[in-house]
Amino acid sequence: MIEIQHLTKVYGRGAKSVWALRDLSLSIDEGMFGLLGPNGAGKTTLMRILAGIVSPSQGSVRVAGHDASTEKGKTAIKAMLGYLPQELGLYPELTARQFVDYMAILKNMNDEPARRKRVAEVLELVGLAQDADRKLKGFSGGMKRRAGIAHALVNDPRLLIVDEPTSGLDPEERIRFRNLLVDLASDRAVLLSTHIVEDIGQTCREMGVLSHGELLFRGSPNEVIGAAQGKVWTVTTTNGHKPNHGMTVVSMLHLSDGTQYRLVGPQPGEFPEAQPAQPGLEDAYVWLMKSKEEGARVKDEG
Amino acid sequence: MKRSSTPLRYTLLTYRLDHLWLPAAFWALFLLLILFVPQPESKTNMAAAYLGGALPLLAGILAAYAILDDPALELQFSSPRPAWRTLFERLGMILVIVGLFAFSYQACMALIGIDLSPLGGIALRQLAWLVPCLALMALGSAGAFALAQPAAGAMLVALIWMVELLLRSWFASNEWGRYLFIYMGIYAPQNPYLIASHASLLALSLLLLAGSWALLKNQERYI
Ligand SMILES: Nc1ncnc2c1ncn2[C@@H]1O[C@H](COP(=O)(O)OP(=O)(O)O)[C@@H](O)[C@H]1O
Ligand SMILES: [Mg+2]
Repeated sequence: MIEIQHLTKVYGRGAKSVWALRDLSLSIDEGMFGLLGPNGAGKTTLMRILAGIVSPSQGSVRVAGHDASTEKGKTAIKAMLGYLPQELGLYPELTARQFVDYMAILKNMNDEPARRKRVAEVLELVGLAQDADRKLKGFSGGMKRRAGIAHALVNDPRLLIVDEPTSGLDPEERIRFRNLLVDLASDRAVLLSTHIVEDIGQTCREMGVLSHGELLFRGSPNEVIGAAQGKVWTVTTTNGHKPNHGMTVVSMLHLSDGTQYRLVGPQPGEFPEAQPAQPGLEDAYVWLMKSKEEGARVKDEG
Repeated sequence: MKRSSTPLRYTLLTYRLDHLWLPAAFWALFLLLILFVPQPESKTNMAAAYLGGALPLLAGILAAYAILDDPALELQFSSPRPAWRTLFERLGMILVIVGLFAFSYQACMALIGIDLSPLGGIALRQLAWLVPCLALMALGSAGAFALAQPAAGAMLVALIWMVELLLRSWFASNEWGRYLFIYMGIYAPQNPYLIASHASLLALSLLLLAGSWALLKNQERYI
């Protein structure tokens, strides 16, 4: 579905240029793919390139066989794709139904009866059938995202790209939205970006970790966790002694007999009593970022 | 018929109507002023100043904001709609709005008996507002895209508008200036170069619109 080879994106020229993506190679097929990375990693840039909005500086990008660096290819990609941008601006005065209908027109769905039927279908699918004729300005954050997803689905895309769709949602809305995406991924490719580890956890079979424009890892969540095996420790200190020396504290808990730390790092030399712990996805992510900082890159072939 | 009317309906529905307060206020202001000035020729001048002066300025500013001020710009960009079509629809809508202001204003003038014939016959009179409106709209649009900033396009429009207003006698008589003079239709409607001036402004507008189109295609500059 997506074939990326040696993709580089540089914004601006000269001294003020920003390298958003560096020599990135990645291929993505059916199912749900999670792209995890901190803010500024280049996730939005990558998604905009895949959506045909931003042009690659170097390298080749193919989406469903169309070249994302030519004008013709971009138009073809836009016609077959569903894309939900990170900054989802909507038209406050339109109702959900009008909004999706308008977007369908922009996607060249000109047959009015068929379009109207499809609009009602996607609104139903995202659970907005009841609110379809309310204006968007009265919608909650979660409802706006669902209206956004409805728009992205209206042309029944084989590829759905959603950029940080869960940020700013409350926990209930977040879970509901995540489940919706998993549902949608049953018969299409869904590419999801996030800086929140839990969003990826159980939902994605495949994932990638992006940092400073480089792909640090690509594989299954279990594989990342495997890479952090033996790097996670718990230790309880009683004398207020705080761990440092190359260990990252992922969590701490004040107990009656001291403070319990969960640490990620190579070996807790200063704490011989530290107990190895079973890594979770979040620990693994921290370890990956950490080992990248220390120059020890763990890189799978893309 | 129904097919083509639907996108137009949404172009209108999604337009930020608060943008239209200022043009509406100017329309009413120039109507009120005319009722208060005593001499008939001042009334005619005032009407001309609205049609060929105030209206083009507002048209240029509206055009600068027409596309880049869209709250869902990234969604627009993610649709397969070609740039020329977006440009055509948005600027076309603004031209229609400006036309409504111009025609309703002239209708009011006719009702209260103000003579606009010094601006030329009925048809030529329309060029006196249409040509400068188009020119400043094209300038506002191209400026907004070139500087990736609607406000910058609007500033550029206001700057040119002001400079030509202050130096109007120079522009009207200079052998190059007259081809760039947006107020020829109201300031010197008898000028033998009137039609040539209109024609050159229209050609320039087309160039600026082509420039807008080329700039708009480079979507990443605006999001
Ligand atoms: N339009 C742009 N112009 C210049 N720099 C940009 C632009 N968009 C993003 N960047 C820069 O590129 C880097 C990656 O940004 P982005 O793709 O938004 O990352 P993420 O979505 O992972 O937070 C950042 O350093 C950001 O400042
Ligand atoms: Mg982002």
